[in-house]
Amino acid sequence: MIPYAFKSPRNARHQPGAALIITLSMLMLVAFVVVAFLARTSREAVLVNSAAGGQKADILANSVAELIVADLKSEMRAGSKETTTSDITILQPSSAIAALPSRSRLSAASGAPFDNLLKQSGASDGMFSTTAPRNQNNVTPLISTATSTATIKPSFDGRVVSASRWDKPQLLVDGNFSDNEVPNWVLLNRLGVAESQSWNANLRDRAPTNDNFAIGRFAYNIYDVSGLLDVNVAGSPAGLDSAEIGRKGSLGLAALAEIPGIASAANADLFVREWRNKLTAATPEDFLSYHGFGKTTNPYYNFGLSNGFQKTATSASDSDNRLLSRQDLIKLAANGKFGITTAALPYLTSFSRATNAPTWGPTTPSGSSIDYAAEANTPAAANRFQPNVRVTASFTRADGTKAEPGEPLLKTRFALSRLAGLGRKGVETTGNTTLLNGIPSPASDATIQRDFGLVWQTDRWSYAGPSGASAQDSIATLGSISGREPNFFELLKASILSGSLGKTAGNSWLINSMTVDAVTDNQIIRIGACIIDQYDADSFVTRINFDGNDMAGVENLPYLNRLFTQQYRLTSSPINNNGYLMVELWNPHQPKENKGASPTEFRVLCDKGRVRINSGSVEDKTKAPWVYNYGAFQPSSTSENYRNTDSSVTPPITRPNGLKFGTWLSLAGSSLTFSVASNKSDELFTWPTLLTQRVSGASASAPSSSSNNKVVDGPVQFVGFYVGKVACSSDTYGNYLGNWNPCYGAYIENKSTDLLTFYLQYNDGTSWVSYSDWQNVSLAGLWDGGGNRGPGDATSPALYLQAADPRSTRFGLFLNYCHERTTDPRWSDPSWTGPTYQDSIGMTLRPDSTQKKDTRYGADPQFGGMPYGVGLQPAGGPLSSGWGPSPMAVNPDRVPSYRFGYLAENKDTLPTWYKDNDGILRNGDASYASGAWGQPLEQVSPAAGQASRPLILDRPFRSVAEMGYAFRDLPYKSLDFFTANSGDAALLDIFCLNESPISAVTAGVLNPNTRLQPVLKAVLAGALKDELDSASGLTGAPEASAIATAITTATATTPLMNRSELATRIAPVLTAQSFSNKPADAAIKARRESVVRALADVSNTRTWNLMVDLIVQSGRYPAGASNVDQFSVDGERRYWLHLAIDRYTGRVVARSMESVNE
Amino acid sequence: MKATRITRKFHRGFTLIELLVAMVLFTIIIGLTTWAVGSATDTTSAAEKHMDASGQARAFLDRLGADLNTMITEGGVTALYCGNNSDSSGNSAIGFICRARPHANSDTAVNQNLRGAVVGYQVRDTEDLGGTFPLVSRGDGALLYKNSGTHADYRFGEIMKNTADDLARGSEKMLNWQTLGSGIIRFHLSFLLNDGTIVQEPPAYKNFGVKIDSSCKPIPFRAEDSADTKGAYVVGLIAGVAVLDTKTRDSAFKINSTFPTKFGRPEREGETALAVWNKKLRTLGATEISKPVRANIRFYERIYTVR
Repeated sequence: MIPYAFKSPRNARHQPGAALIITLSMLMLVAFVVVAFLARTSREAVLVNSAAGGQKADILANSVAELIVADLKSEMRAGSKETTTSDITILQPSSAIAALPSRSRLSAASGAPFDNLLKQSGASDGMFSTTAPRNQNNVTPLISTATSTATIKPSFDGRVVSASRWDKPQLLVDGNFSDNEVPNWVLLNRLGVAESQSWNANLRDRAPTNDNFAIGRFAYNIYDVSGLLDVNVAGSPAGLDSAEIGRKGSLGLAALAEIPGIASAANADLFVREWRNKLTAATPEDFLSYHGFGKTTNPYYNFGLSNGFQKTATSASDSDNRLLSRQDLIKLAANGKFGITTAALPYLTSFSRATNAPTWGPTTPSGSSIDYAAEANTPAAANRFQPNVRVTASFTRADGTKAEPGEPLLKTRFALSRLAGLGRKGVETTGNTTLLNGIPSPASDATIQRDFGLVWQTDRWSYAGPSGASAQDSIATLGSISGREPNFFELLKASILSGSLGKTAGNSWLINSMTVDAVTDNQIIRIGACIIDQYDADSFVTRINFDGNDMAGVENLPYLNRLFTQQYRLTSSPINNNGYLMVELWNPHQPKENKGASPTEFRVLCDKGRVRINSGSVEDKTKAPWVYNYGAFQPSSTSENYRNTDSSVTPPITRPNGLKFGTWLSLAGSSLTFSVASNKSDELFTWPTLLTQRVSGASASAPSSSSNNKVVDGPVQFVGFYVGKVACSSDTYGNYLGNWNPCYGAYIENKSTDLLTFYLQYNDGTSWVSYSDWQNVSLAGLWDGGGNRGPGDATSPALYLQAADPRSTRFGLFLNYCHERTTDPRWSDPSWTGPTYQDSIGMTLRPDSTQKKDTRYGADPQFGGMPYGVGLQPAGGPLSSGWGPSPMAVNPDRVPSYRFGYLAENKDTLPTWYKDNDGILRNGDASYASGAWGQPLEQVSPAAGQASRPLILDRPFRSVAEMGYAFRDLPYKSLDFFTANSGDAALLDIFCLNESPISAVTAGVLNPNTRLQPVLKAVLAGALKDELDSASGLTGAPEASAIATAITTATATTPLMNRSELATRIAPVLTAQSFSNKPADAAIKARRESVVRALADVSNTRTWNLMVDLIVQSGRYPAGASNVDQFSVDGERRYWLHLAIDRYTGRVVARSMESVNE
Repeated sequence: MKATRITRKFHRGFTLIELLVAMVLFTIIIGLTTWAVGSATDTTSAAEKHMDASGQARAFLDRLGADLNTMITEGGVTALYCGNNSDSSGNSAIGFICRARPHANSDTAVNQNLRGAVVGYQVRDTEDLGGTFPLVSRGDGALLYKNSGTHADYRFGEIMKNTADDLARGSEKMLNWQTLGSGIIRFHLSFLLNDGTIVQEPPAYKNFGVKIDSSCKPIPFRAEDSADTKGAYVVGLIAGVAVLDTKTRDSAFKINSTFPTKFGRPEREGETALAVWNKKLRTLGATEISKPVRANIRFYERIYTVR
């Protein structure tokens, strides 16, 4: 065949052009198809590459997130001592600094705007430095450096991440990133983070064998959001009572108005009531219930509280709202319609999480004879580093989860809400007060024994431990517990430093309680009972049988205060010298109405003992002693302050016949009975009060005085235990009733082999219950010192016995004498405030200046008023020779006297003080009282009223630090949350208010080490200093501001490691300036502790809360790339990774990956 | 001359044999050509159907993934699962809060106040494709900060309550629906739990106070949210879809409109839709499933990790 092209021109001339057209058309068609194909292919390639690049970036982002988490965990390890048990490792911070994440160069150097910025990818910034204190365990970060390429530098294809994009989280305080403050890129190769972040040809070499081929890059800022207010919890609606707000206990009661950008209560209310808490802020009661502080069972309880605010409260038909992410929060602030503006954003977070478990371990105070820190990991020690107390045998916890060997024994803090299961007459089964297999349940006998080790037996609790019913003689240490969770008392023992317990007088002078008092577990049980009595509403004391002894709590009731021996002669019969034992009662607490069930009928019972009146000079020794009818009194219906005699209520004790002089008279069974109106038992004995009854025939009209003295009365006579009479022989009879002159030489004595025991009892409806006692009292010494005179004798003072604190006989009874002279300027000058010679317990407890002139005991002012008594100073006698308090108190000057009132301060700068058994001097409740003359529980200024007195709350705790109201069974010492040497501070960390979620993770917490003072200010503002004064809240300015400054100063270089340090490091640094509205508040324990109460329940030092702003780009270096800037980007992803990592286990306890829409 | 005659004779026509041979050859060629063209057409058609189905599946699963990627898992119940009770065909339905932007919303007020969206996925009857087909749809609704015009400011619990109603009863209180795959006739979700097991319904949720349609269940993403005795919670979702290309869809539903229900659903622990449906496909008879469906139905599956 001849090709067409070679045919003759003649043939060609005859062919039509169709072939060419067809051919060209075919070529065009083919070309079109090819072009279309290529175009489609190209477009799809772009799409696929884009999608693939995005997916690769997504995958890389997840990988980088894991790298960052791994490095944060490494940082924890690098700063820790590791202890591994059963493959479970606990990371104990090597120092306070190492307990927190390190700060990058930028945030450390550039100050305030970067207070929230922890870390940033930068050429000079690794995830953490491996220098001390983060140089343990040979751990190094995976991300140790970055390229020199800042994200604002264009990539090969021109992409940049500008400074303004890095500002998007809006977490810088009053500032933005400048171009030279943005992060640098970190290169990723096929193995992970490129070892070298400098340019090298391997980065562009795609050979499959080249592991160093760059596949992506990332940059990040890591913010510390631990110190920010959780906007999903913080803030309350308008309309809440200031006292309710002031009791704090939840971040919900923080004052959002203190946050810049919110700025007013109206704005806070708009956000909380109108939007966030639409359901739970319908009424104030609803809001409080949601936070666990309701007066009634509330359906929202489980949502708001048991889940630790991690859920939005919902009901069948309604719900609250919630900010679901930081972008959500930013959007809301930008929206501006809910009271929050963008200026508030650096102080707010939508994500806060913490493991609600203790991290406390004891430290050794300087000078301590016990090295607590060294023993903290010793199984037998009482006080342990809590995370390292491990489960030894598996068991099921109260929350229904299984505890495996090696886990920390304490999964969560112990919820004080379980105290509600302890009723006055056994187990309180109303309401859900505990957990049973994770389900909120009413208490039962079984749960009470599980939670408290207590078993109810007829009329009191018995500490039986985990099983059985018989009273135990010891409380287990945590190290000895196996197969169960520790109970309340065991945790008390673990919390309170062992050397701060069991202090006694060192001898048995005048009372033999020393053996009981020396047992530290006895004191633990009593402290526990006192905590229970603070928490319960009633005013009946909690009694716990322990090792055969009844340990009683303390309620707002009168207590045995003084015991006088008293003699007098009647004008009508001056020869007869009568003898009495007179009892004085006193309720040292702040006057407060007992609104719960309260006893109304009381008696002082002499349970045993033989006494007689004696004198070498009496003439008639044949007179048989007789017992005086005991008195009874109660308020009239017309005036609560008015006593009335009602002898009909108590049958007189018949006179024992046949007794002869010299015969010992047994007082066993004798009693002085009185009754008070319901709920008024606190008021009659606000001041030390001798038992009296109205003189027969005297006017029954109430006194006109309206002073604060609640027991002002008309003409009365004292009542007491009559011990007989003797006849005077040669007396001139010149001194009669009123002068209280007994026969010379007459005295009252007790039989040395049958010492006296007195009980103060109330009738609980079925039986008499003892709650205050003097056991085995000897009257020896009372006859000494000039005879037994009246309690106001001008020349020869009366003698009496008195405990340093009526609530405790731990240091025995002190022998004292009244020294009340009419010439004392204090009687005539109500404004006098200075010290005089011989001030003592009376001085320490006296009312304010307007009440010094107390005439309650009758017309003679010498008999009335607070006892200006002094401790008896033996003339030249050695302190240890039997004169109380002897060894327990240090009296370097011994002049003018023992002033056991000083014990309420217990400072070595004062004449009287003592050290605990570990050799540490721990201050008393009046630790911060000014002046050097011993005014511990006196009000510091008249305006302060009686605020320095102890207080019985009679309500569920609103803050774990409210345990600080509980008596510690030492004179004028309640549980100490306000001094550096506190032995009780660990209670703040080991206990909490309410049950934790099963995960043990809660929201609504913040780190008190925050640098953001407005955040602290918000938490503190309004904190109630005085439980009884709803107007005593800390002012935002200047008080909360000053305290926030003090806190940030105290934590700037050495952060707090756990909640206990709020007591030992924050409370002590407060000054009068911290309470500038009322500087004297700094000296009053309950008021100073208001700061601790506000912070304790919301503080989180355990869990790092971080937000990682992460941008990841997938891509590669093109073949011609020659420097590190020339990265070609295929895809990009940005995430805000919210992390909560437990510092002590390294476990990520919460994590949320927020995809950022840009 | 002879030659001339012969030549003339030759040019005058073909012998019968020649014609027969030619016709045979022509027939063969035509047959071969027809077969080749037909085969190529079938192949192309099948490929197109495959591409159609896989494209639908990929688009759907990508979209679901994109929404799940921004799903909110904090703050309480943010996701609901409605199982086979909501749909007699055994399909699943899910609704959740995420950061997605609602579709077709140009309202300025909405844009200014938008904080996210609630999104739902469900197989719904679709009538605007030339017939009534049960097809997977995506619904979304805007979550706003403040009442603005007709746009409600929903509270947290209300969102879930309305979403449950929409998913269970086909209402449109919360969600505006849009068909997402024109041939995705089945949608099933299995749940990957924290202990690695795969289950067909999420563990019970603890303490969700909102009264919602009983066929919908809150999905717990954390241990403390789980009412399961072992505290199991969801860490991943496994989505399975059954897809027909558009051409087959039309013919298949003309033959038998109930065939989607014949594939059943995973019932046991460890099963996923892909395995169950494939197994069922092999056992179904001709009366239960038509030939076009048997030939062209495709199953896809993807696993999503909850962030």
